[in-house]
Amino acid sequence: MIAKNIYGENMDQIKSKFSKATSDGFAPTLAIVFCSITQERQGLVDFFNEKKVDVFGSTTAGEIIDSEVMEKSTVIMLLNMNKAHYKIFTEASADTYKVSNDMAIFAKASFANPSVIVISSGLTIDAEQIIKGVQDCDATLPLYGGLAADDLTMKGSFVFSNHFETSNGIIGLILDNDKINVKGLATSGWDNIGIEKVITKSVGNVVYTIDDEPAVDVFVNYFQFTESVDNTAEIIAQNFAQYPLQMTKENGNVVLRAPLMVDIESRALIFAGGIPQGSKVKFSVQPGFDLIEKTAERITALKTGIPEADALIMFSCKARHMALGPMTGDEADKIRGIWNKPLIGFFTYGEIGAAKNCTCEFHNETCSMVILQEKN
Amino acid sequence: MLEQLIKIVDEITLSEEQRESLFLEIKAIKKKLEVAEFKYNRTLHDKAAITNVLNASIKEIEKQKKNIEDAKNVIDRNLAELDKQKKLTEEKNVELNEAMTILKEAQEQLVQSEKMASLGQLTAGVAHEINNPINFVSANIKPLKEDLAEIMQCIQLYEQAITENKLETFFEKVEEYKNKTGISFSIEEVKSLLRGIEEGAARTSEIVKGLRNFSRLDQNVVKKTNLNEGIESTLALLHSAYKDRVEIVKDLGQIPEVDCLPGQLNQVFMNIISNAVQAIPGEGKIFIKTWATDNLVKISIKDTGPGMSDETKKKIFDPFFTTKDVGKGTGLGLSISYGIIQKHNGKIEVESVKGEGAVFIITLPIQQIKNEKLNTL
Repeated sequence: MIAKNIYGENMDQIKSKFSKATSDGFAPTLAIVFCSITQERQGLVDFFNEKKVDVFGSTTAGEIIDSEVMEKSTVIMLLNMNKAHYKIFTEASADTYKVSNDMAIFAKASFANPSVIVISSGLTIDAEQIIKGVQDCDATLPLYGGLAADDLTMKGSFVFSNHFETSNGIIGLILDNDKINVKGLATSGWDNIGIEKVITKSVGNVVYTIDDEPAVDVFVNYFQFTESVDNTAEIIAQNFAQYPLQMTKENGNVVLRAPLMVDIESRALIFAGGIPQGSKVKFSVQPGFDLIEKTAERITALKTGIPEADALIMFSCKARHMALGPMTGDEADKIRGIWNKPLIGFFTYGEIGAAKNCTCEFHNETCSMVILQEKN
Repeated sequence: MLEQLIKIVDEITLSEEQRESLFLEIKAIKKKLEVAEFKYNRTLHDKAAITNVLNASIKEIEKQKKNIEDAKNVIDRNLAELDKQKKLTEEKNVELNEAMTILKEAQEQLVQSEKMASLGQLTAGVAHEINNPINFVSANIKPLKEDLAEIMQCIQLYEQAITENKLETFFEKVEEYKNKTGISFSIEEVKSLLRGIEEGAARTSEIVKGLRNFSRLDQNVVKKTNLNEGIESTLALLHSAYKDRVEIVKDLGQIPEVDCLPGQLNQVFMNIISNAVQAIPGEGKIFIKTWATDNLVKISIKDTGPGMSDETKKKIFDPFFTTKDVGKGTGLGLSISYGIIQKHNGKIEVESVKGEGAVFIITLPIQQIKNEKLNTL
């Protein structure tokens, strides 16, 4: 399978680069499209419909293409994957569990041995329900992906395909594992700090109190944030998201949970993933600047299982972008250099994947890598 | 500054290759500067955040430490209070033990009083019983003496006649004396008096035997005992209380000997039978039956008295409960009886309907094995 990356900030640029990419006879069947909400999604979809190319798309909080980090643009990975080796699932619903379960059923009906790359839109969903919905169908089904984003405006993220778009639903790229080698790994690097605290009141992914104090006040007091958090999503994301809560789940997996939004009335924080009431958590701080080397080292270990690759997809938490700043591209570059193949990705509001020696979980502050190789 | 640098490079005469290379280097330097600046700012930000979190954590820890110290103080105070309570409780225990000892002594005195009362009743019964036969003896002695004196006089006259050898004159005198004293009658009377004395003595012997049997001085040793004998001896002692008024109907079966403290069981029979007798106003009957079943012996004592209400039945074995007038009963008899039967691992029950008499049923095991209360093996 051949993968080619193109990018642009408008349709003209994209059309031009598409032409150039296909001028040598390259006939893509599938386009993985990650774009800012400022981009013209409908135009993109119309273009690919015309070209009879399947679209697997999501809005972002920043785009990654090979070693470059971009913003307010569109990045596209064109793949000439055999159409028989993949299917695209789309469903819009506020019932995240149901749509995920439907997707898993669809995947198992499509192929004997499927893998799933999923992207979900929706700013207040409990992303753990995606994992649960899939695992309740088949706990061994490999699952990777992330949450769509919206440039931190917190107004609405989207997933889209050729004839589908929703701000509250999922899109799944179902791959035939017998034909496509798929491997993935989720890696973080955040370290916990300070004393243990208890989530004293929460419902799903909404945390009302921590140690019986309003959740927002706890963050503000602990970090001495002086800026007002009232309805300022960017402040929340920029400040709180960099200091997520580290939680050990019942199954022993350690996950990070970053707050995305604030409910001013109740002084509650809305996280991207569920935090059960009674959970013991600690704050965590950004990793040191050796994060890039560490991430690359961990991802390199995947090479044992997949020595050659055709394409690399990266779901990287927006908080990592803020933690690494201008060095974010270096991380992408280092990872891309492991297989030396095209890499595409975007900055998400949450990631799905399995960390080393752990089962598949929903994460924050994580880089979830997916490596693809079409078997001959 | 970088923009100025780029502008300067633009103006320098360089080959395309050199210009490209220079721009790349400038770009690289720019990036390095950006990275350095980012690292510096982020480090400051992180340092502030980490410092704040650690300070807040320290405050939290100090607050928790204070809470722990406060809790410890509360615990210490509670422990001191508990110690104090413990001492008070120990003092109270000592007082209670002393009170218990006094109570036990009082109980023993009461039991002793009951025994004395029983003994009194027993004594009265015995005294009354012995009185009659003794009366036979004492009443018969005087006329016996007189009769014997007359008979002796007669014999003396015979002896005198023999001595003086004046038989004809003597026989006339004797015949005169015999007619005068009615000696034939005296001889008959002597026989009758002797019979009365014999009967009185026999009766007294029976009573003493019954009394001895009843009291059983070896009462603290478990013995194989014929309960029918105990019942008989009790009836003997109570004879004066029920004779000519209450008919005793006995159906004493063939029962094996029972391991027991015989004196104490006799006390039980005495209590129940005497209560039955006292309960019957005027004339009536008491039915006493004994029988054996499985490894048990049963005794039922039924009277034709007025019976008792359900309320009375519930309390009948309670200490100090009595239906008798003040001064007529201690209310301890059945309570003590209950205790004695319990001690024998037995059962005592009462069945009664008001107006239809009462039945007391005693059930006792034939053998007492490993009965700690009776100290059997």
